[in-house]
Amino acid sequence: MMGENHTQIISIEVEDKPGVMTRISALFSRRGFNIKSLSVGNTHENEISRFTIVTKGGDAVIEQIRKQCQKIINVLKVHQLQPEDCVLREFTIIKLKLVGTENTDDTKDDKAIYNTLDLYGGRLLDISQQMLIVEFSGSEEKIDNIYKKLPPAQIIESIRTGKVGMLKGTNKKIK
Amino acid sequence: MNIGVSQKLTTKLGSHIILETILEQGIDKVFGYPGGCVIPLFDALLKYPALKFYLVRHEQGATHAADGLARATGKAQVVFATSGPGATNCMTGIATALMDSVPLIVITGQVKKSVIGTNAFQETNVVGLSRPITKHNFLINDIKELQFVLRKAFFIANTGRKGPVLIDIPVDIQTESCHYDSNPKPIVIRGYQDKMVAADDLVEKAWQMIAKAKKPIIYAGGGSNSKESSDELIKFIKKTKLPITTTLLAQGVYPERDSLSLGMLGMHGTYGANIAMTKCDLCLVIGARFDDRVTGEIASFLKQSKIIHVDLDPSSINKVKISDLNILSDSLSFLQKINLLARQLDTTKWLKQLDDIKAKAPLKQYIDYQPKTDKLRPEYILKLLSDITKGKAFIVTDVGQHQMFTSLHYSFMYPRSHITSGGLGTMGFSLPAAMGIATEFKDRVVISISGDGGFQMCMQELAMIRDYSLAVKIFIFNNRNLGMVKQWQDFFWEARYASTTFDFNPSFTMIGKAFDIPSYAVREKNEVAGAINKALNTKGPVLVEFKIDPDSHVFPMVPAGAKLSDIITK
Repeated sequence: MMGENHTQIISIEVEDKPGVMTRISALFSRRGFNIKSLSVGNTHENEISRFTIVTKGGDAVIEQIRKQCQKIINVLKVHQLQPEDCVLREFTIIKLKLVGTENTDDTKDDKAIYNTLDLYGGRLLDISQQMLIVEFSGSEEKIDNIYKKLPPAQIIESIRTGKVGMLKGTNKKIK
Repeated sequence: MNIGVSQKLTTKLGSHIILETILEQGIDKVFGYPGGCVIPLFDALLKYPALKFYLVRHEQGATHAADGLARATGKAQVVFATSGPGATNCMTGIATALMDSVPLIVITGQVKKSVIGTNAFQETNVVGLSRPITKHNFLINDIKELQFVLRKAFFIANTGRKGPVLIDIPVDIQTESCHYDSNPKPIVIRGYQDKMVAADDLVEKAWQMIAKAKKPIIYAGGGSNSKESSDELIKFIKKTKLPITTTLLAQGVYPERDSLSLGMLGMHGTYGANIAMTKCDLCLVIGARFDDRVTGEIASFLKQSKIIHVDLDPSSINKVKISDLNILSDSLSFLQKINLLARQLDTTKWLKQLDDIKAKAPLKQYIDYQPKTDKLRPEYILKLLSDITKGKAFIVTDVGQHQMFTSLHYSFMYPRSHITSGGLGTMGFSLPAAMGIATEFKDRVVISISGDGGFQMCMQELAMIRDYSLAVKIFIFNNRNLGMVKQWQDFFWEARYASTTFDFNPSFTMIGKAFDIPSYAVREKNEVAGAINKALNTKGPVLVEFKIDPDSHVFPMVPAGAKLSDIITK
């Protein structure tokens, strides 16, 4: 019943109570599933948060985890997000070192940074002491490509959020 | 409205709020053990004589006692324990309750709020420890939440798929005061389903499938084990003449002496039940979860049959076996609905076939074995016990061979009459669980059956049994070894008895006498009936030690992971 393992995205609306994260993550760890990414944040509703969890697993086991998540008293609603039915976004911020100096033109590598910023709609958040901090958002694939375009030697620090996602076009609300 | 006055009238201490909300639920007894972080709570008990407190001798005993009573009544029962070791001693009992979906409210004291997380004296992370073994748990941070959390806890424990709920209450919350509202509002928990009622179209579909089947069978589990469901089930079977097999936790939901009952199925189920499961063409599964002790090898289980699965827990549906029709429903409302559609079915041919199967391997009950030359057989004792009590007693078993002998040789006639730890298989369960039942059911016989191993795990509760003169009839089946594990070693480990035989055992009758409980031992077949009758006719608790054949094996047996058709009968 295991089926083939593939990427699964689960979106969970929860009451904002202590221990909810442990209750949810325990369901994954008990089945030996690695959580690939997890993002949590408040929603527009008071005291309701939303988890988006990306993991790899077979359909049958994910179905079990989804049902068991739903049984957690603090969990309001669990959706499994199919990429074709929803909007999925990731966000990243990156610290980059400039190698060009005042006396010389920007080197080829600095240009690659500016080009990537332009091409992928990145935003400049900070420049200090020859260091840039930039932000990008978009699909996982787009963020992957950004990292491929940036000169690796100039990346000082980076961080990626996990995916956040939302189902397209339904207006179902939980009671 | 003069708010000031009404607030004054209803301001209560935290400890009193706890007891008020328990009484509000119709609960009149609590099991527990005191300690530093629950002194205020126990002090308040002195002012609430309506709440009878039972002092156990170990917190595990309190959880099993409350669990036993909850299984007998269907209603959540309450345990009080202190922080740290008091709470950790409760864990086995809580896990036992969760595995068998038993409603339980466990209230533990916690160190005061300001020192939580500092390794204070008798501090342990109780919500963390109990999280995976409770249906839900709470740590109270603010006295204002207390009454609402307690009501919510009872609601969660008693509805949906029932289960244990733990509430950890810091000692300083117990001594703070707060406005208390004695008119509680109905509880709504977003995203929580407290009821599951079968959809009409699915019930109709189920009935069509049953009516079309040539060899239908019912496989009923713990979810169906209540008086109400049992009444509906009996009505349904009377009309349709479907044969029924049950799990360990549903024994007695249909009277086992009736010819349509095949008894229990699974690893130590009857030959008739297990072979029927390999021949049927439709299986109606009600409130059961396809446990591995029931199914044997899962790939072959009901392979030839269509399956209708009725369960109120969505996560039980399609968990280990894909069914042809799934119905999310509690057993009672499903049975009520299908009874409106049910009509007479002709199952004569199928029942005849089942009779032939049953006749091939009848249970060996050792009725005519020779006393003196043969050793005392547990099967014989249980057959007599079944006849003498007419299947009406509460039979509270422990875990191991005697438990399986009981499920095979005692004919359960009423729902909730076999009280046993099925899922977790907790040795030591029987004695405290039986004593919990005996606190309430004064006019029904309560029999605790244990092996010599399990009895020694919670035998300190003999003190509570004596203390409150609880009429538990304690039967110990002493074979001087851990029989079930030894049986596996006999079959699969070349009879190497690694730590399963007791070189030393205490004198159980002397232990009973030390607790001022009438105690006697039985060695011969011809003493059994007299000993049972004497125990039943003696007022209050009695301890009877049966010195049984140390080499008895439980048959039938389906080896772990084998097909049900691979059943060994002798």
